[in-house]
Amino acid sequence: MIRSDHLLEIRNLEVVFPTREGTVQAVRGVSFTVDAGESLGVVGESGSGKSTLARAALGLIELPGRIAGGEILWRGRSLLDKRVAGRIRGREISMVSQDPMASMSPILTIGTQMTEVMTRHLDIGRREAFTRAGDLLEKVGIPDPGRRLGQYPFEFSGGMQQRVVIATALSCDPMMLIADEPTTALDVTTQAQILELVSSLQRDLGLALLLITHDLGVVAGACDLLKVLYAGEIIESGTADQLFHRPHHPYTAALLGSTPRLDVKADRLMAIEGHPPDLRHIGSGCSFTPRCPHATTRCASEAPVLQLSEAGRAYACWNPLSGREVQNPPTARGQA
Amino acid sequence: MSDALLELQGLTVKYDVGREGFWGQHRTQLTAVDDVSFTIDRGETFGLVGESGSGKTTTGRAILGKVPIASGRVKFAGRDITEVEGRERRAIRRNMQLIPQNPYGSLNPRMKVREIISEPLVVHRRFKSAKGATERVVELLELTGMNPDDMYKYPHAFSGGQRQRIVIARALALNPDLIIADEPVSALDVSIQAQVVNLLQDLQKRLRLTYIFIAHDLAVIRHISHRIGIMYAGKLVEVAKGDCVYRFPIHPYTEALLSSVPIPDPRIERGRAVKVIAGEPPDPIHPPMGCRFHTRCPLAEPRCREAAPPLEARKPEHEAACWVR
Repeated sequence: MIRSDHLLEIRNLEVVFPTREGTVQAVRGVSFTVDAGESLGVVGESGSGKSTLARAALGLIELPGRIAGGEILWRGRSLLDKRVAGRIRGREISMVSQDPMASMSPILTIGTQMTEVMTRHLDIGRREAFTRAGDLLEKVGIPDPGRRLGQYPFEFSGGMQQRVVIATALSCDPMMLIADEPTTALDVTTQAQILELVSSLQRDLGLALLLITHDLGVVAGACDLLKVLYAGEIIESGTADQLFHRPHHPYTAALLGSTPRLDVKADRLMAIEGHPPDLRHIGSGCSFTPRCPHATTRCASEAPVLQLSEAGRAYACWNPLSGREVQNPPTARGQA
Repeated sequence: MSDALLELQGLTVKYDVGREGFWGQHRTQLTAVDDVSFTIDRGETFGLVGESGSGKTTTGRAILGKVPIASGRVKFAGRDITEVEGRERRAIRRNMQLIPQNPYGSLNPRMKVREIISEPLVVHRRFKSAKGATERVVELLELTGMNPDDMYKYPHAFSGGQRQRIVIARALALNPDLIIADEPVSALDVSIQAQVVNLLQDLQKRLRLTYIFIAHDLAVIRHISHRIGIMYAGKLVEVAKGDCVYRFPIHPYTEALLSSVPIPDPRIERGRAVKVIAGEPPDPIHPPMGCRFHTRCPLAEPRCREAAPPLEARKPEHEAACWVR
């Protein structure tokens, strides 16, 4: 056991995927902690390493990918140990992923799948597990649970499937839920239903939540703390209010400026020119340099380290924005 | 209105999805688009928004003539495209082009960019070969913010955003009046999405294009559209100017849809009362009688179950289909 006061602690995590054209550095030196009952959002675009991070936290990095460095601690125990990870995954930490069909077997009934998880992790029999499964379906808002338990995943709509996955994830009373783009595949009215469900369950059960998404709207409502990931690194972290209203890192600000909003009509979106770097050939400087409007020569040669600015917030930038209150998008302000 | 470029009157599209009855004597039909009417003016962006299965993509495909129309009329610049054939049909078809969603699936991986962009020019006999069209291809690449040297490369060399620029260049090759963009930015990351949205807006100003912008993302639709049509289960339920739809929605579905969209601002999002609507869109093969939304509508009354409300003008330039409001 290594000493850690946190529920989940990730230290200097490095995840690599060797390919024929070079090694992809998917996660580069990421550190953060999650405490009991906390809701942490990780925001990033495609290829930022956010899903790899989620999988690593569950010990699910598969060959040829590997963890090249760092430590993942769950209540002091290392999740890099496959046996430890196998016992904890699904029981103390559960996961909800983007595609509910991929998390379920198409040839087994919902009831069979849910009881299997419980009889494996908990000391209960099939009959008791089946009753519990029915209660769980009711809790996540699925009507007529008795009949639904005997049905197969294809008989459920996308939103209902995601509810079943959430019910299964909660079946062993976990302490933490990792949700990787849980609503991306769903329509917006269904997304609203699922987000409300996740938030209320998190509050009622005192769960820790690690929510991974590309959607700034989703984290704005669901998370207290945020990390922004770019090219495999955390470039800024803080409370949701700090990051949305006083971003220090130009990437965070640009991300906010390029997101169209329903409540504000901007004349023009603030596009970020260029595209994210090739993770096989990372230079020595800040990886955002080629797209950054504030970049200097120092940025191209020397990578900034994540430094604390004030209580609870940090950023990795040589030329940070002032952190003055900004309205996003800056062009106009309508009514909510 | 004299400047109407496109006019839909009672457009209905049905798909055959199987057979019913002991002998299989009855065709089972799914009504994907049901009696949809709207008009689009030249130079305008009309946003068509709705959830999966609402019929927004089918509406676009019907305008392009890619699916058979069961009933109704589609008038392009005054000509009914359901009536014309041959040379005239091709001339109309040249004037409307599609930007599809997936920039990975819509470019032939075995063709170089020059062949891809010049293909419509060669098919419509503006040029004999891709080589002959080089000058026009360069012009189109520059127009969409690409490098002229890119025409010698294959699609795999480009990122999603760059591919979508190539798709746009191809759609513009024949100087169309109308562009039907079906979820053109949904597959892109938000920073790249903003680039493509800005490009589409710039091109509209420069070339006086008319867009039908089909998307499920209400924030993108609001940003780019002058007028918006909202679809639910094959029906157009509300049409109005962008700001009117967002500030003063009439149809309860529009209201619920808008309320479901999270606002990327924790101060607003935390305090906001989200009107979550329960349930899901109806089975498209057996839609409910009356208003399609009555099964989920908080305001539903008996008459909503009996007859479908027509889309009617409520205020100047604001139409809605609802009995209650």
